[in-house]
Amino acid sequence: MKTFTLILGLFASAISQLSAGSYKIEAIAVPHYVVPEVGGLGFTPEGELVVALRRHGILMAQPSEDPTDFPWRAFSTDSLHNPCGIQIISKDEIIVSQMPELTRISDTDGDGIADSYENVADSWGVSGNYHETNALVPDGEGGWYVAVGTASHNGPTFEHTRGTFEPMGRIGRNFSAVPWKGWVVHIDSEGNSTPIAGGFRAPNGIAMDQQGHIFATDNQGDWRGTSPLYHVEKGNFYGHPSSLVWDKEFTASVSVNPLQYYIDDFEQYQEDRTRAVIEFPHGFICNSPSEPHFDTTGGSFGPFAGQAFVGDIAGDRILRCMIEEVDGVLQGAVVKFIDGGIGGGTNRLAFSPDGKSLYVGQTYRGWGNLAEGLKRITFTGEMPFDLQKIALQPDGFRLTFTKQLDQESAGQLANYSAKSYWYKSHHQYGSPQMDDRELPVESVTINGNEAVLVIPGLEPDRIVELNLADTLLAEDGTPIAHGLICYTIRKLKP
Amino acid sequence: MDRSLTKSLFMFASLSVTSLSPANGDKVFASYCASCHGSDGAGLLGPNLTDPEILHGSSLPEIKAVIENGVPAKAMPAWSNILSDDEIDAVAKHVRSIMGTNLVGPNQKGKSTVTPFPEGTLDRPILLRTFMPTMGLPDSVFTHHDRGEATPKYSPSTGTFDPEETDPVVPGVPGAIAVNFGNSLSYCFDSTECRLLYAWSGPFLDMTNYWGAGEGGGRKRFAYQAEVMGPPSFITNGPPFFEGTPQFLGYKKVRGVPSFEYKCGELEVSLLIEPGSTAGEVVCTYRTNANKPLTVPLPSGEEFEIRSDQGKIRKGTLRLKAKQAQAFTLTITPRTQVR
Ligand code: HEC
Repeated sequence: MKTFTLILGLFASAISQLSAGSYKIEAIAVPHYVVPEVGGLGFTPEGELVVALRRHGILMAQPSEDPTDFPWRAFSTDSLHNPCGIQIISKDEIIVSQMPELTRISDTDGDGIADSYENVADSWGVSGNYHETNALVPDGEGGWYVAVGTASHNGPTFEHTRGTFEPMGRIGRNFSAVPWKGWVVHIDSEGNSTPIAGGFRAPNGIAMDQQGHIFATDNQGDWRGTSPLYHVEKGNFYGHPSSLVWDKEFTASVSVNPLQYYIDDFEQYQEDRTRAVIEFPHGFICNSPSEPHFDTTGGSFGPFAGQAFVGDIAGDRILRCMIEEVDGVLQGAVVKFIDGGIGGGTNRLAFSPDGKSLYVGQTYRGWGNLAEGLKRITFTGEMPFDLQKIALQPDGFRLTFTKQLDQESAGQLANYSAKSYWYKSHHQYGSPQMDDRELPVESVTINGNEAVLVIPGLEPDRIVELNLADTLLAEDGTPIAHGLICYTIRKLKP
Repeated sequence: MDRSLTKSLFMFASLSVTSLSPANGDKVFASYCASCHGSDGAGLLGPNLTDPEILHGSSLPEIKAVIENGVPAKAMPAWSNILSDDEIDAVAKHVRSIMGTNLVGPNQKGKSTVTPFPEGTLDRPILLRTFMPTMGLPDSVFTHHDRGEATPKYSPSTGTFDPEETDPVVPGVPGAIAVNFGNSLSYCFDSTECRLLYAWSGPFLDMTNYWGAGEGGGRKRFAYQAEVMGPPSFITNGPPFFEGTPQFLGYKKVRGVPSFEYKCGELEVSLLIEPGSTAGEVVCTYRTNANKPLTVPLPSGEEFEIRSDQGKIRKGTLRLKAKQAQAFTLTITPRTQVR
């Protein structure tokens, strides 16, 4: 195992140099009196960068070309309780989800400093556990979806809890002792809350794509064989049982102890839970995914418009997700976008108004190695050679690349290999790769920037790992930048 | 160095005695000293210890003496009651070993003045939302909280519950808001009960449990709870002031001072809490939409005295006519100040 990671490590640093020409990474200096633990990131309509920090309120700055010379100002110096989600309505009005509530922070007298902190909603409880984070995404209609995280056994619960304490929710590794921990809660513009789906563990990021689908990432652990990206739909159960103590129907008709119920009946568990759109294999792809962030730049940031970038809190990388609809469900593949060079702790992402740069907010918030700060990734305009799109076929995959393929190297079967495995989500922490099998790549057909691979024997509820060798070249001789592709098959292509 | 901080450091110390082998001066340093001297010893709140010569003497006995006795006037704690002789010896040797490495401290490079000891001033109070200690508040204050319980300890590897061992609950305020005006006043308001819980003077909070020491290192402790540094001047008790379930609406800043807005039933309240004329004295200005007389049960205790600028206080209850209930000010004065 050690040598394996080592080789991957070397491979990674070599690869990151290859894509270095297309994307430039800069560290952005923050004021010296601030620890840059970024919980929320975005831009005002006027183009000012907004950074919500774990312990120094909210900073703003009009970005300058020189990353060390941003004219920082403090919109708020109130230290919010672990702010993890942000919506920037204007330079005077910002919504933040923090531990105890969703808060509207406004500057009502126009002096540039917030003076009103309105409690928009606090329908979830607070048990006194540091792990209960809240990420948000606007619903597009003046309301929000808030992804409420569960508590961790590495922290306590309090003698006096805010909200009803439920002992059956308190048991387990990660737990839901007070309401709506482990749920996505919808909050309308009036502040009325409706929990829409349970079963989450540590959903440190929720986002909406341009078609209006809601996605949330979650973190590997108990009931999470590996970290998933979910398509959030009303009424579904996303696999972490503790939160079901707040589902009256479940406790009335199935069991008052959802944890024990699913420990005892794994088959029922497999049937009841909603599968991930994409699973991020633990370790070599991702350790701790944060917010999915869709590329809305229409090409200003390079050839990945419409795709989702996902940071890794506990790894030096940013992932890229390609999602498609197959037989009525969303599923897709993950590849690395930045593999080395960004640093760990990537928590929040935001595109600059011109779409050329992706701002990266980092933190480690008490776990992982110390990694925090603010970075900026800018597209240089030089086209990278990378996988641009992947489509499942009945017997393989159609790969579309960002550049025309070199007929000779792309036509060589030896440049492709495939295998498949799955991760077991159960009460134990994480999962090894289960039933790892080589898959034969029978043929490859090249057409311009497309390669069609024939791989018989694909099965649902498994991850297919494709490896493209770095001897696979574009027509202009560039080797493939990121050749490791993991596609999660929920449904086979009919 | 105040008593409560020393005490908590002491508790922490007694927990770790077994886990620290005396030879590990660097571990002792990381646990007890890094919060002030920086993880590499290059200084934060306390001085840079990597210079070739230090103020209180550079020989091993002199270093041991300053660690044992502290510098009470300058916030360097005395460690003789907290650390064992072996630990003091080990950490002194560790200090000796980093001396002369001449690291540039964060204060020198103008890089960070961040410490886990946030501070406000009279003109610019600071506000923090975090988990706060209960300071021995009576249960009756938590009327609108639920009661946590110890639950059977769970083994994730086997998926079974321990028949005896439990996960306990700890005291803490989940929805607290802490405010500091410098050394004259700090207080803790609760957004769930919508009431002032306690106040103190002197240093504000030690946030090391939640924020970690300085810029880096070990930012996690089991409780993630702030520690109150100054001696309390007021700890509340008794039933809520107003009837009905409190609903926190938020707060507004009036000249930088938070004014808490909440509802209790039909009653809309705003509460501005400010320092009084002596250390630890709290001035609470209430504005309400009351349209009938109010009776407000006041907290009672030997340690403080409560006065109202409106209405009458009889047997610990403040009686206000409707008009008076719309605007009244309570002043809470610690008796130690009076004495
Ligand atoms: C609460 C903050 C704090 C902690 C914790 C702390 N120190 Fe200090 N220390 C100080 C301050 C402030 C001074 C400067 C005293 C002065 O100016 O005279 C100091 C001074 C010293 C000095 C003398 C420096 C000189 O210039 O002569 C030594 C040695 C020292 N500390 C070692 C330690 C060790 C070892 C520990 C851990 C066991 C420790 N300190 C923990 C704040 C702290």
